[in-house]
Amino acid sequence: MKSALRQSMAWLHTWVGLLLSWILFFIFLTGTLGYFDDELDDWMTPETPVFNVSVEEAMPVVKRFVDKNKLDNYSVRFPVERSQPFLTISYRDENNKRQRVNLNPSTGEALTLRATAGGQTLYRMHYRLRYMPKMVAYYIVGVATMFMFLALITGVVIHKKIFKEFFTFRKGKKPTAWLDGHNLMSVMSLPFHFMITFTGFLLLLYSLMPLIMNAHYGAGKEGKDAFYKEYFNRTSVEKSGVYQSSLDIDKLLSIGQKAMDNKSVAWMSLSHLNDANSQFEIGSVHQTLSDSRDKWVFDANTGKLLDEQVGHESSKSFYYVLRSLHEGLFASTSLRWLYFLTGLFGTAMIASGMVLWTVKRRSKSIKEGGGSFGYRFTEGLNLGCLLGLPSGIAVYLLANRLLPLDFSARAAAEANSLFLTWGTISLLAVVMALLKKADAAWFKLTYLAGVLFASVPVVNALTTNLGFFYALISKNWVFVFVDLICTLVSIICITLAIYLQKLFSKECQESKAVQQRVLTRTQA
Amino acid sequence: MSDFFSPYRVEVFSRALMSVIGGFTFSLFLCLDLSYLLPIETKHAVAWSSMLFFIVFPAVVMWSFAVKNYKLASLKLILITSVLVFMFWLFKFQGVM
Repeated sequence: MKSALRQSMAWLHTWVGLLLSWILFFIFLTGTLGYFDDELDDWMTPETPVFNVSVEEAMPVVKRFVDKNKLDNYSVRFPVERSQPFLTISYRDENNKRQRVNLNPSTGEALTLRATAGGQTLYRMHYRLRYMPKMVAYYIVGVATMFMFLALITGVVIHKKIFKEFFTFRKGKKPTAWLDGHNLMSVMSLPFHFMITFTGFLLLLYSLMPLIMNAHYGAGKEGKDAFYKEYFNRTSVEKSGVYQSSLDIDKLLSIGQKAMDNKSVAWMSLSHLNDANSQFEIGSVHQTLSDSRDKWVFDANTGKLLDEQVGHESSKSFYYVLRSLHEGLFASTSLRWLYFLTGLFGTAMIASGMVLWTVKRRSKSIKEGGGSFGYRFTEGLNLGCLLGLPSGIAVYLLANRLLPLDFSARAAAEANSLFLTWGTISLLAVVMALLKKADAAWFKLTYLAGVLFASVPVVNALTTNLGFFYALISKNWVFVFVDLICTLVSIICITLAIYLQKLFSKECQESKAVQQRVLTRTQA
Repeated sequence: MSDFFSPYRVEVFSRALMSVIGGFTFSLFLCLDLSYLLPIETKHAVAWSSMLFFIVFPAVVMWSFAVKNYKLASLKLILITSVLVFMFWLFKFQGVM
């Protein structure tokens, strides 16, 4: 191994960076889009408006629904925050099956949304992946996160003069320009990268590292349940079967609101109505970093406060603050944009690192007449991933508009369309790279991505009545911004494609000229 | 084949093995022992040491690739880990602490 610390770390950085960069790129891009998951949900269900109605106004609708369906166990989420556009009631039906309805909070009319995978599926993919069991996905994501964490730390170790290098940008000289760009993307939001990676572990903490918990609380599901009950204060109760009349829901709500000390109500739930163990819970809106999941638990028959979970102590406050930082649920619109932007920097950091790996080996491989199998395969995978996934996301959005509305497997088909596009483009890219046509693949696939993104606003305008200008007039900012961002991405892609095409043809002529010179010289 | 088993490749492979298996075991038992030693409630000790694991592990991985003499280093790692395992056995099965 190389003797100096920085050299060995540079080696480690290159290889841990490359090996899982494909999956990390996926995790970063879908996770970044996930900061706008609810907005994408809204975009992908264009026929339903978004409601914002106070708890008091929505209560008559709730009571009517509960009485009509004779519900004993239910929870209600009020349309008071970003993640909750409708009045949602979850309950157990006669067959004890979980049900969920979305209601218009003013009229009580049930909303039928088009079946869509939505922003939620896109966001969930970034840790749950797809087409595999949950635990397998978690372990893959966990390993990828560890590689990311290592790449970050080693990246900092390599750059002793990190701040000096941060202000260095050597334009034009190819490998160094890529290197400087890579550094710029990394350093500019380095705290974010560290935060998002480390907190990524915390979100899957006891799935990835259950052993310490198991040592104390026992193995398997029982140990986990015992620990969770103690640590996360699970408050669920069993039905006793003894009749006892519960208080009126309005009364419970006002008791709850009093206990909450004027914080706004986000949700409430009632379990086992008219039973000795009947329980009422109420929770506040997620507004700041540390007040996540505050809740108050009452005896629903007497109105007595049983448990108050406000703020957290010791490890839990640390854990929840870091968790909230990752999820960004507390973030206001401007902070959400900052999250989105830094997330994109992270994605660009990974992408530029991938490109850097090939660019550094490029001139050598051109001299050797195309490079080794490993080089060409990696270049193919790199470009398949970098261009295939964004194209896949464009197709995901297009599929939402283009698939027939009465198609039953619609939601799954949307997600499949993403992976099908990504897979096809990757395959194409690898094949072209192996046939030594990587240059053509680069700019052609970039054109393709540009065209796909350009078609999103067009298809949206044709299939919904929320085209760009109409959305602008009616101030429907979600639709305006989706159109704007897709157009912007499309412009970037097409400009890049034109640039690449020129660059490669110039390079090609140069190398031909060199060959010509060599040829004439040998002939002479 | 000689190229495949070149000293460089053997070294990279050994270091990778040492960092992944050795590093994992070392970090796990260090954090396990800590979860018994921390003078706080069990549930918080479990949480803190589980979170600490994700800092110790990458540090050991980096050390495995940075250290000059990796054969000596892996010997050290095995020795320290054995002590940590012994301590864990004392805590968990002998009821020490």
